[in-house]
Amino acid sequence: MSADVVVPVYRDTALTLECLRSVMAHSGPALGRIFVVDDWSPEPEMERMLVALRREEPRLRVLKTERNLGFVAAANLGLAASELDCVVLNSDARVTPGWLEELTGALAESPQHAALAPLSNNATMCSVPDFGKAVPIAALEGRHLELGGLPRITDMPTLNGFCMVLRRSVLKELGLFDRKYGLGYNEENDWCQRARAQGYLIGRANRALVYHHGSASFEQRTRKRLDVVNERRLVARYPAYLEDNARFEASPMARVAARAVRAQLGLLRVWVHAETVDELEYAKALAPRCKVEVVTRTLGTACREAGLPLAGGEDPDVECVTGPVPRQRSNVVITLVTERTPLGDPRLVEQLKWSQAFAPKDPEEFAHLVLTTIAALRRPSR
Amino acid sequence: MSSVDELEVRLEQAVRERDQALTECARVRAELDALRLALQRRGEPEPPLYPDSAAPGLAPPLRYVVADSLNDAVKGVLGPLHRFVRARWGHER
Repeated sequence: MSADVVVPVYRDTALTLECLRSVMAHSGPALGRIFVVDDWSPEPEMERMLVALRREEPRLRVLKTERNLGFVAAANLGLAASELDCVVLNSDARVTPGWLEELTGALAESPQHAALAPLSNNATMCSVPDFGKAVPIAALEGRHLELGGLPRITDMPTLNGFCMVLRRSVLKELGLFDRKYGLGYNEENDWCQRARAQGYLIGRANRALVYHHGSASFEQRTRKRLDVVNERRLVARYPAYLEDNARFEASPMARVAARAVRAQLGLLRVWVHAETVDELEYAKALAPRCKVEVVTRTLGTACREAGLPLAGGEDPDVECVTGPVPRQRSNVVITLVTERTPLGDPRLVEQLKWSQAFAPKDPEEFAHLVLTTIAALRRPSR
Repeated sequence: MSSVDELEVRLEQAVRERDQALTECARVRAELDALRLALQRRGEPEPPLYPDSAAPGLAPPLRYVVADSLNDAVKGVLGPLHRFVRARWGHER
């Protein structure tokens, strides 16, 4: 399977060059042609760079608009020039080895999917290691991530448009992005809802990774306005859209990829339940070695004095519960996966209430046991 | 100009023409697609741009700011007259 790649470009020649070079370097035989749509870039060096790159790369085509059309129309121009399945890629993205092979392979494997998006450091519901939050590219770059153990596709109600592969047959059936979305934002969500209305699925390709700098096209104020205005149009057309997204975000599969990556990066958040001073010693022993927060009703002051943060904010990845009756310390139970906090490993996701009982002799052994268990979670399940 | 240079120039010219033709073809296809989609969506109401309680964080457009400032200034400078007009005819409309 091969696919074309469409890259609308406007500003930031250096970032665009970085993006295009990464596509040329990491796409392999899965790449058909690269359609760069120069949307009347105000930077003179942009055109020079594209012409030079076209000499170097025979698969590159440069389409130049006669005025600035905005992202939606520019992306449509590239999509209309292509005849294959097509990836729409933002010019502030940087692809990684094997990205296109995985995206096209997953699309070929699952004919009911109309579109797929890869994991990224900055792509809302496709974000890792923090679901729904952006982290700098540096947080992932250079780290070896084993994504092969994850489910190949996670179905989602929509995806992030910074990088998405669209099936050609569905493009022919549904049409391109709706130009009512003007300069951009939410056009990809609209397309996904049109596809879902026809019975197709939308998915996240959990084994492909593409970095994303994010929001290079618009200033923050403009971005927010475009986003809000276009979202109103989207919700008016698809009243269930927000509810579908909320339902997905609350589902166990939403965070599967994010948690798997967090486990591999050593970023799992561990909650230790402690109600006695002795139990607090367990948290103290673990704290220097991972991100520990304490759940307590009675030891708030002692935690502050010990410099241990209290649990709060997002759900943890791992919970260490000190037994059904806190005083029975000899029966320490480390609940590693709860219904509320599924882990990324598919073996464990299937058993949402997996837990492990330990009876440590002292805090040091407790810390060792917890860390050993977390290390086991990092290993791929293949 | 050597023959190699000349060939390079001609090649560059041919590549540019190819991409221009491709652009034109894509433009027509995209236009056709946009028209089809617009036809499907005909009659759809436009979402309001402003004001909207769903977006309280957004700054109002400049014309709203200017109109509000003028209104405030007139009310401030001509306060008694404004109050008289409001009292006399304000609620008759």
